[in-house]
Amino acid sequence: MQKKIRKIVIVGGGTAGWMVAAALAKTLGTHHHDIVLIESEMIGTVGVGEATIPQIALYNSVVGLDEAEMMRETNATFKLGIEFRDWRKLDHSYFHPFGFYGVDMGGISFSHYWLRWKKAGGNLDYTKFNVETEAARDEKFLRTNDDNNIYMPSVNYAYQFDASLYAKYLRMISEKRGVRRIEGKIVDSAQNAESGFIESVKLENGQSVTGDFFIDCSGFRGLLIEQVYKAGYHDWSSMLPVNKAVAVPCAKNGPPLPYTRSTAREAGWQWRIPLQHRTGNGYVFSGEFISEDEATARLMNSLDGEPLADPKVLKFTTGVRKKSWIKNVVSVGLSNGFLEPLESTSIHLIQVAIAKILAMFPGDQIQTGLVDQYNEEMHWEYDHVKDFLIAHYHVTERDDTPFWNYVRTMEIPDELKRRLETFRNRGETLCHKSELFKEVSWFAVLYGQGLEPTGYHPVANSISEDDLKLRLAKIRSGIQDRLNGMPSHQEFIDRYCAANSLMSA
Amino acid sequence: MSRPIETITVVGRDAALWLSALGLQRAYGKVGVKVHAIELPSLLQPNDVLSTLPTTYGLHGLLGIAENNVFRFAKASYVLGQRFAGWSGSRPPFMHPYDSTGTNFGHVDFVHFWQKAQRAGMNVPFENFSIGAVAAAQGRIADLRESATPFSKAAQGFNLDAFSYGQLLKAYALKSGIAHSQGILEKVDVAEGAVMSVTLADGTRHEGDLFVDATGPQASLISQLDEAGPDSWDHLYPCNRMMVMAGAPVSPAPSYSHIQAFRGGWVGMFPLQDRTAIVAVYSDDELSDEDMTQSVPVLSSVPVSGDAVVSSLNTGLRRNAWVGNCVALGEAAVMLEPLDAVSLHPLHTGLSLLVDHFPAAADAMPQARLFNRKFAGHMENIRDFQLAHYRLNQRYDEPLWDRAREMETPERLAYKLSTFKATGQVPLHDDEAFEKENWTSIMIGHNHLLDQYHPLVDGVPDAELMQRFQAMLKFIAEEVSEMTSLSAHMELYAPQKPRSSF
Ligand SMILES: Cc1cc2nc3c(=O)[nH]c(=O)nc-3n(C[C@H](O)[C@H](O)[C@H](O)COP(=O)(O)OP(=O)(O)OC[C@H]3O[C@@H](n4cnc5c(N)ncnc54)[C@H](O)[C@@H]3O)c2cc1C
Repeated sequence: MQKKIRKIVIVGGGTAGWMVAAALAKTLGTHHHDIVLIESEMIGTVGVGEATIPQIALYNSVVGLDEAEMMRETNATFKLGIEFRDWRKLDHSYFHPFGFYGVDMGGISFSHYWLRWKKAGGNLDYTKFNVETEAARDEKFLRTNDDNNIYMPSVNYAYQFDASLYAKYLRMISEKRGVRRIEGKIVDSAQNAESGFIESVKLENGQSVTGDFFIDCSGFRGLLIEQVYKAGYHDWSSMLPVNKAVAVPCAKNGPPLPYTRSTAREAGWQWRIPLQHRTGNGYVFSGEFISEDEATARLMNSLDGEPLADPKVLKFTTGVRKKSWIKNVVSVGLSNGFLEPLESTSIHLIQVAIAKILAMFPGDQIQTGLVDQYNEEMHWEYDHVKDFLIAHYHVTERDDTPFWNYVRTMEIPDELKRRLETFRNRGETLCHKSELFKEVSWFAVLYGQGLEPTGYHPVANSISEDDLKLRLAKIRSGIQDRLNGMPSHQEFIDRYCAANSLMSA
Repeated sequence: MSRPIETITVVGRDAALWLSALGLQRAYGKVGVKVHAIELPSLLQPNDVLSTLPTTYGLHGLLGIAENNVFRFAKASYVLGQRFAGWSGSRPPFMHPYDSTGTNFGHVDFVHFWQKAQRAGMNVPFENFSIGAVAAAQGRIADLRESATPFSKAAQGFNLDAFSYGQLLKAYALKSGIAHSQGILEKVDVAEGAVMSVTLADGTRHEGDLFVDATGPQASLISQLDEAGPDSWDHLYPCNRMMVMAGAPVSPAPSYSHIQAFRGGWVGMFPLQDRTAIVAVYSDDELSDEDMTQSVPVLSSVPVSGDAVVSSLNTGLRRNAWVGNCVALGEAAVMLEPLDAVSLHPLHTGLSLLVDHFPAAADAMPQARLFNRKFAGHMENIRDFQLAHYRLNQRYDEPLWDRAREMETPERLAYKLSTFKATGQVPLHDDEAFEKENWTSIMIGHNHLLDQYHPLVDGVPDAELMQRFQAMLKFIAEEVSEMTSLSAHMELYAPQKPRSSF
């Protein structure tokens, strides 16, 4: 018989581990459940992962974080979206904003109306109908959360922060709420002979830590999920061929931009993430197409500020565990899989896992039905993000390097093929309701990558041209009004969440 | 038995020709009347602008001209009113909106209440109680929400690039099925007080049952029949020169035209999509054309480009705009100042009157008298509205402006001005282009205030009055903030600039 779940052991203290700890401590509490986190300073964390997506606000509010404090503590800036440079072709740039284009009408998305306007010879780029893109261009920012003016669009945003400081901040909160942290390297584990459930893990110093439920946040190695349970791995590297990254922070060269920049390179792409005090950089590449040394040199030569550390190389395989939950172990974070950081989805997938674990949290017993459900749902999440990422590479005009020739012509999943076809014909992206990246994101990326629809949804013809024009102008007008009232990103940070280190400096 | 009209021959150029031809075709083409447009060489200068009132909407509606196309092809901009600056010494500019101002309390007009409050020290300008004026000042277009419509009837006219607008009208006219000839007018054959035919330089001769003279100031046809010639109004207006220039566009686009008075006359700035059209009206007693050219950039405070086109400015009315079988429309019938956005109004008025009083028979057209009387009445009222600006100016000790105040004032205008001052009422005739709210707006704007407000005003306690004023201002601010901006609207038509970044 299974034991009642009383003690939860979190294996690993990276971003994943501490996010899990803080969320469980807040929602389950530490009165009825004993929450323990084991981490090894010697092994350390991945430590990169600085850009997020807006859903993180939900996690923060569940945990009860004060936004301004969190931002001060993590040197955070605001992020309105991602600029993609050189992705469609060299010297081209487009923006994937958070938020919306225009206002949906008649049950179909705004983009169809815009396509109609454009086909009829109308002007004005669709990007002008998105407030985040416009604010990003002007390097402006405003929190509009408490603003209920329905005639001006609200501003959707995420953060760019120091991931290690974020984990540290969550650690402080978790410990305050009674999470126990144990320092040490896990060297072994013990399973129940009958059920195969993990009963305890053993540390290098001989200490044994028992538990009823284990959350494996041990990073790429997957200490329990893979090394003990051999969950297996869906390897997606034929479609997402990047497998290494070299990362380095550099000094900032001006006020931080309110967005992340991704610049396509010969064998992958490079990120630029501005924080309050420095800029994070990294070249994500495929080792098949460029050597580590070359990639490192390329990165170092392209920095727009003094490097502040030695470049650090990380290796990974894109993909996901075949099973995320086995017996009394659930893997979360890098131990469950990695889809490469192009759309800053890793932290989000951690958060999704946490939400699902809480929703399906076992009472007395671990129900196999729920476990299967969890595994299916988690797989579905990764799978759809994967297709979105593939589209960035595959829909391109670049043919200047072997890497781009490969991704442009590679085999892609059937479901994605269908989407691209439908988009080409009528601007629709066939998004599922529960998909992370919605029609807006697909539109921004597919259009930005150069796939311009030849048609649009017929419902967009249902209003008169005058009406259409008036609505377009009204939307644009709201955006202008909103922009006029926005301070610069730097000004907003200064008055809302300037990091202390800067204030005292 | 008399013969009905079978053919209308419209001889003219530019907007006047095409509006007349298209209007008649739309009205009478469907009953079999043939419309023939004879196009003479354009007299337009490259930077000419037409500034029009909201009634242009109705005109376009009748003619089947899609508003979108006006925007797309005529470099059009919307205008919710005219702003007058410098007409009253050092007083701040005021906006004349195409809208009412404030709401009546009971049976008493808002202006009485405003004037009481103003005397008691409230310094909120009259125009601040008009959605149209506030919207114009903030660069909005007149898309009122339903909640605003009981309070406001804000509307917009167009500023149009004269040449492109003419081209647009021509395209519509040709598509409507009219016949079209082109050439230089050689000869107008007149017999027994009627036009028999016109002959072009290529030798072709064109007849018609009814002739429309849309030739502009040349009045090539009607002048052959109208022996009296036009009545000159030059003695009523103080200026006699006009200059047209092009200035840089202003960003964000203002949704009003700006009329700046200066020592020697006034300079109007008319925003268009691609430029600010500049029109200066002045007197050569005060400054030479050269001086004017140099003054324009200073007075308009926008960079000016290209050549200035100068012409003499004459005003006047042809009391016999319709003689025999020939009707003059547009500037062949009346010449006004380019003030108060009436560029198309005379044409529109004449065309509507002609459509309404269309001759039943080709051999006798007794409607002419009625047409002439009505048309003249309309035009005199527009003239009076223009003159009111001059008569009410408060630029003292400047010869032109002193003269402008003291020049002969037509009796009807004098009566309007004095009645308003005495009672706050505006005595209107039934053929007025400008209504009570327009007159009130400019009279108050030019500081032509009431001698005393209505006695019933004192029946409303001061506190209540202030409360109502405040509520009105708040309501207006809200409504205006939710109106669409003109620059957003313009962007939908503006050509895309290439961009290097996202
Ligand atoms: C190049 C790159 C860029 C990225 N960019 C982004 C981004 O922009 N946005 C984003 O959301 N995500 C990003 N990520 C992902 C993000 O870094 C991770 O999702 C996040 O850091 C979570 O990592 P983790 O906690 O799962 O693993 P780790 O950070 O690897 O933490 C593992 C933890 O397990 C502990 N541990 C391991 N083995 C043992 C043992 N034997 N005994 C005891 N403890 C052990 C370690 O000490 C450590 O505390 C990026 C990742 C990479 C590789």
